[in-house]
Amino acid sequence: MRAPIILENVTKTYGNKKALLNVSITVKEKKITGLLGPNGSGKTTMIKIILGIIRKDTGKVLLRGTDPFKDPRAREHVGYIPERPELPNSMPVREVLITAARIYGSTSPKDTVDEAISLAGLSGNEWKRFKELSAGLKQRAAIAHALISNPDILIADEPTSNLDPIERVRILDLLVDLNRKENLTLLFTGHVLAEVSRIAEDIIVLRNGKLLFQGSPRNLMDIASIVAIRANDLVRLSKLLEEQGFKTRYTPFSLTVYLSGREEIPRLMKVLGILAGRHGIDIYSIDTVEASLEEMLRRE
Amino acid sequence: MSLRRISGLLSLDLSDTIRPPLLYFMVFVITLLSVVLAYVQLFSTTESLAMNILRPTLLATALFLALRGASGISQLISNRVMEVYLSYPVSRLSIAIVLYISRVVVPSILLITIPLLAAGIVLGPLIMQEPSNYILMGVSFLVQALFYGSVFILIALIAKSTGTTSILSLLFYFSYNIIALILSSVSSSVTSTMFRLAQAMSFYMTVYNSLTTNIEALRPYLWEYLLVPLLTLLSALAFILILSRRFEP
Repeated sequence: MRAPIILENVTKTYGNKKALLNVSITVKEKKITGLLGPNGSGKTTMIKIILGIIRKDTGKVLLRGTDPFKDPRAREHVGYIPERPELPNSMPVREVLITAARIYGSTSPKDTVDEAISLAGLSGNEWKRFKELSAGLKQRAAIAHALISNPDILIADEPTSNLDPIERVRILDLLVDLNRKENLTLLFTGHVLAEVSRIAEDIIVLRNGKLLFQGSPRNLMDIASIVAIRANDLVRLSKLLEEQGFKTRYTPFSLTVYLSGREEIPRLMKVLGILAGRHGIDIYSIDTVEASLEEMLRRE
Repeated sequence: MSLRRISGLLSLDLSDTIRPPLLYFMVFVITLLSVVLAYVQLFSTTESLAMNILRPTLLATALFLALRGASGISQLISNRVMEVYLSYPVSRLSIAIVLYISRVVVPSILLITIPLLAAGIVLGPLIMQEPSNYILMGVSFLVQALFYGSVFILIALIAKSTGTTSILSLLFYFSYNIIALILSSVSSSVTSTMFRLAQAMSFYMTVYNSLTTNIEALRPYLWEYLLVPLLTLLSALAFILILSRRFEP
């Protein structure tokens, strides 16, 4: 079966700035895919290109098998949760959703909306206007709005931004529930590796518009190996390791060494042994640590 | 493309355009003024009645189109509701047409037609002498309003900012009318090209002259009839083409 979202060599520029550069990805059907990257890495641009909200410069984009910019039918069963959710304020949320359900071609808009409100956990607040809702409820309203398309694919751009930690967990759990109960393909973006890897089955990492990685969270952790070393002369050790081709970052209490994979650990141990003996450096501890996205990107 | 989808989007966008109280307040005020004017002033012809009632109405319509219609489109862009529209399974061409109808056509019709009807009811016997002329005058003012609205929403699409759109739209409106005034003031005679151009810049003046002048030399030329409708068509097409082909929120 064809993947619901395919990008092949997609490039997008804004003036002189390259937002995406020859990016090729495939989003697997009915899986949760997390799109990771720092601010300005091209995540939102990619989402908007996938939805046909903006044009690509070159390359090929297929959403449910068709180009979403040229053929609006590609978006028929695609729900979209924007980065900062916004819905028209001229009507109560429920009325907006009913009208939107008609746009999506629902034959029984009220039933569709009732179900979406229930699934998104918006019950009791649907008669308020969008601007009257709290940040968490706005996010839920946006999720309800995305669900009225009866989606096969749900695309969420930073669905947990601007939320408190408890609400972040609730929203992510809700998305996981939707993926499982409704058999949705879910593509969502985020900043925090731990948060994304908690629910994603497949991870895409972007940096400066380039694709750094696509694969499972486990593989990402493997290639993002980081070692923390405690020793008596960290500044000197840092300099010596850099001379040996290792990328390091010095902190007052430890030295972080960025490796290109776990297979580099034996070489590091060997080099450390030689350096310690030759330069009289006492090494107190060596620990592998789980990389954050920031640390992983710093390594690049 | 299903008509049901397009009508859904139209009702969603219209709910923003005609949300209370601005439009209702403006319709009420200009209708009241029109009725009062119809009562207190003596009009001998339907054309002069329409002209006197609809000139202030046109100003109010232009203000509404700049401050709510076009600025509303900028607001859609800046608050990202436009992204929501563009994520619907509706073609960009349909979205552009819906926005044009919702932000320009519907408010123009409401603001021009309601005072015209109210004054027509008050001075029914006078209107019934030449109802077609009364309607023609109404249509000519409507075309002029559509012209302003088309330019304003084109500005909105390019400016993408509510404040800039309002300022540039009002600047365009007043500059356009001042230029027409200057052209008519400096022209040597009422038959000169400059004077004709000044008159043609207001479509209702061309229609008024056509309906009221018996002197052949003063009758408008064909290009005078075509100037504003063509500019309206071009602006509207430019808006629709930019939104459907090039626009990115």
